[in-house]
Amino acid sequence: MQFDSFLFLIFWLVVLALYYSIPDWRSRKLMLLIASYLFYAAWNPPFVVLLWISTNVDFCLGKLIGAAQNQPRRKALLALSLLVNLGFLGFFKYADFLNQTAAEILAWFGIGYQPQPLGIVLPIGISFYTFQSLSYTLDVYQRKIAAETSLLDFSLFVTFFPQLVAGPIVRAPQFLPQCKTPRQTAADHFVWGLTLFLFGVFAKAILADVGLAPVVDRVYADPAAFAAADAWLAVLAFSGQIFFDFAGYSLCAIGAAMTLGFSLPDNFHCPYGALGFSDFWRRWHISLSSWLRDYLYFSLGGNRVRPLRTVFNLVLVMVLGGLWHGAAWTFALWGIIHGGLLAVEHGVKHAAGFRPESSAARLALMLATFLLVSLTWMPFRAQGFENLAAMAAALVRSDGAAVLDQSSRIAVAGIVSAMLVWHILAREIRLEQLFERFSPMVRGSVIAGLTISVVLFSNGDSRAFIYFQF
Amino acid sequence: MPSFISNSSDRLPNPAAKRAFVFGLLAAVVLLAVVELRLRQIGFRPTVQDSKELWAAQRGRAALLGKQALILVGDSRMQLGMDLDVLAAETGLAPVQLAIDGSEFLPVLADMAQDPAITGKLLVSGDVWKLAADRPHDRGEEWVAFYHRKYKDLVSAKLETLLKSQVQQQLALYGGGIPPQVLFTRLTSPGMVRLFYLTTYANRERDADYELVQQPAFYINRVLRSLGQPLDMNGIDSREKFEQAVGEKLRQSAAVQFSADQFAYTNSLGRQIQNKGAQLAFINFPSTALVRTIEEYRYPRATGWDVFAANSPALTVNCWDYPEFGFELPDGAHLDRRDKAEFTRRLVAKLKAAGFFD
Repeated sequence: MQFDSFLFLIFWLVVLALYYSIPDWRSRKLMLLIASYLFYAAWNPPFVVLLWISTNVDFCLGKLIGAAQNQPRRKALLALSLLVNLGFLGFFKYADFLNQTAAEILAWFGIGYQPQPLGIVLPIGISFYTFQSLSYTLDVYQRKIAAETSLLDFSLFVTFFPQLVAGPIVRAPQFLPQCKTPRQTAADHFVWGLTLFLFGVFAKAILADVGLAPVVDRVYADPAAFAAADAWLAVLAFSGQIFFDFAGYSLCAIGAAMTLGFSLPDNFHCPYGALGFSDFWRRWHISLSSWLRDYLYFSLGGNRVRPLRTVFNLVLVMVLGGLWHGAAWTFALWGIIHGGLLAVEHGVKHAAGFRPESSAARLALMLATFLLVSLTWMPFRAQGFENLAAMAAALVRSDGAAVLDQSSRIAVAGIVSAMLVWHILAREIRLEQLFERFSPMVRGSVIAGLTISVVLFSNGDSRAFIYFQF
Repeated sequence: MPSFISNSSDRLPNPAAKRAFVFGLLAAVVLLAVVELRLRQIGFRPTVQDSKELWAAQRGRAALLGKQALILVGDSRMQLGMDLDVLAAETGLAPVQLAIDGSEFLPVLADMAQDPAITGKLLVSGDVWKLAADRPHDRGEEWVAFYHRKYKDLVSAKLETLLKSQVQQQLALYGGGIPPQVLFTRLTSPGMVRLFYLTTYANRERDADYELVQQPAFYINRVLRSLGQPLDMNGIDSREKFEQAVGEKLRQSAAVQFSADQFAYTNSLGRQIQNKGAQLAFINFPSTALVRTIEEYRYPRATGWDVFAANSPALTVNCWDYPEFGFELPDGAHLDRRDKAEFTRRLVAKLKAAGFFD
């Protein structure tokens, strides 16, 4: 079920009512676990088994890894965890892609092989809970944490419904300690959780779905029909759409968890106010980028190796990050571009010691970063390379009709500009601090305005969160 | 930059988060209640938004009902012309509205033919020119694909559609007939904005209240849509001149010639459906005035409907042939909500007389 749905609203109210009416902490956790399985089953009940297998395998392997003293045995157990988790992910997400790629490679050699699509349905959120569960066995293997002894707590860590299907990807040290003592939820916490949830729904349902998505969908569906100005508008609109969609989801998740007394990590922090690409990746999908950094980039040697190897590491991590988002070569291209940009930035910082100091230089760097990031979203959004080429051609064409209506243009320009100003001005402060600067009357009015907008404007076709497909 | 690891106490704005939230929420509820009451005061009624989710919910029902289903396939004529309560009462079957406004019926009919669970009775409203095998891509195809790929197996999608349609059916401000962009104008200057003439219900039944449309502009627009060609309206200030101009335009275009081969695809779907034990009837809905003139000229019966009916394995009923279907159609093509129940009763009687419900 989606956060911006009536079904979730009812589900959440029931969960809150039960949660706060049960006095015993263990029973509360058990109720949350059952609710989380129901939440997942609401999409596709059979896939709950997959979640259950992943949880139990990692719980058992974590215990065995924790207890084992023999290094080869520990390695073998970790390899088994990787095999099971990545095996599921590989089969469900990449089997058709690999099959198709094999056929294309064979075709280059003149060998005709036309595989039938396997028709595998992707279990929702598998990329998220696989990484979450995997981080636990990796942490136990690296002796960063002790193996968890409570299956209930561990199951809740993997399955906790607010972040189960689209993150943030929570690490065991962030979540498991919260399971050990009953969560105390002060009224202010509860209400701030609701406020964050409302912000999230507004960002997703109104800004992303109503304000930006229609323009993006229209232009990407047939780029050749649009003038360059409209194509540029669509590129910028997608930057806004994907931010509001995913950051909105993360805010909903953080808010929903907070009403239950749980704290989830931030997943976005003004990414379009970033000073360069490494800064961007410290601010965008923070839980994934830090996961890739800690478990992949550092394992490859990070930047403590020869410069060329560092470049290779950056590009490899970003390509794998791209493919994590989707089984298509356009995602790999997106990763290659970002890896290349990070490598160039790394080189420039090292060789030239470039550090912008003046406000004007910083602003210019922020805008340049935003523009380049927006352009790199093109392979991420395009439906294949043909569509990508058509979109790229549309950006530089001199003819073409101005098809978009004026109100759409104004909506996109308004939302994207406001987003950019907000990200640049608030890059050093948190949402809480920003909200605090206003009087209670203004805050109340904002909440009233957002609630009214959500009720009035979100009655159209509902769109799934973009990140659900990952 | 703040750490990405946070705990709930880091995240709390101070002070008075609680008061601001409660104030905001109360203000929103009060304002929304005022808007709802005002909308109802100036004549707006709740209406469900017809959507692919709503269609998919009914599509799933059609499969579940099996022999008990009376499935309606077609376009807006079928959706506006059939009273589901009357159908249920007169036939004892459970009507399922699968007609899609402004679409071709063939994708839905093909979907019915391919699904072994569809074993009930099907009524299809079809214009002969839509029966060719070479069918264009349209909403029907999109909605069928949506049902199979993104709806059929998802429990949450079904529950959400049910809840959403029930809420939309209760609240005027949440209905599909009110674009929020013009809400303020509607609330403050009700005379400037016409009430929406279409009301959709959660079961996808739809009412058209033609007393709420501006005539003759509405009728003229419908005729021009049927004509499918631009018409210079300068100097046309009477009904006679309009009819004359349409006639001239019509004579500049050639009639569509059909061959029996073009009906082969539709007939093969019909046979597939009948082989499963289901029953099928094609209904040519009534049309009047210039809309009928255009249809008669452009798609002559002798080479169109008559050839199709002669070769069809299914029952065929052409409403043009029977005086009891001579309702006044305000736009020349669709029934007003006041005539819908009686039309449905007469159609059921005709189908019963032909043995369709035996």
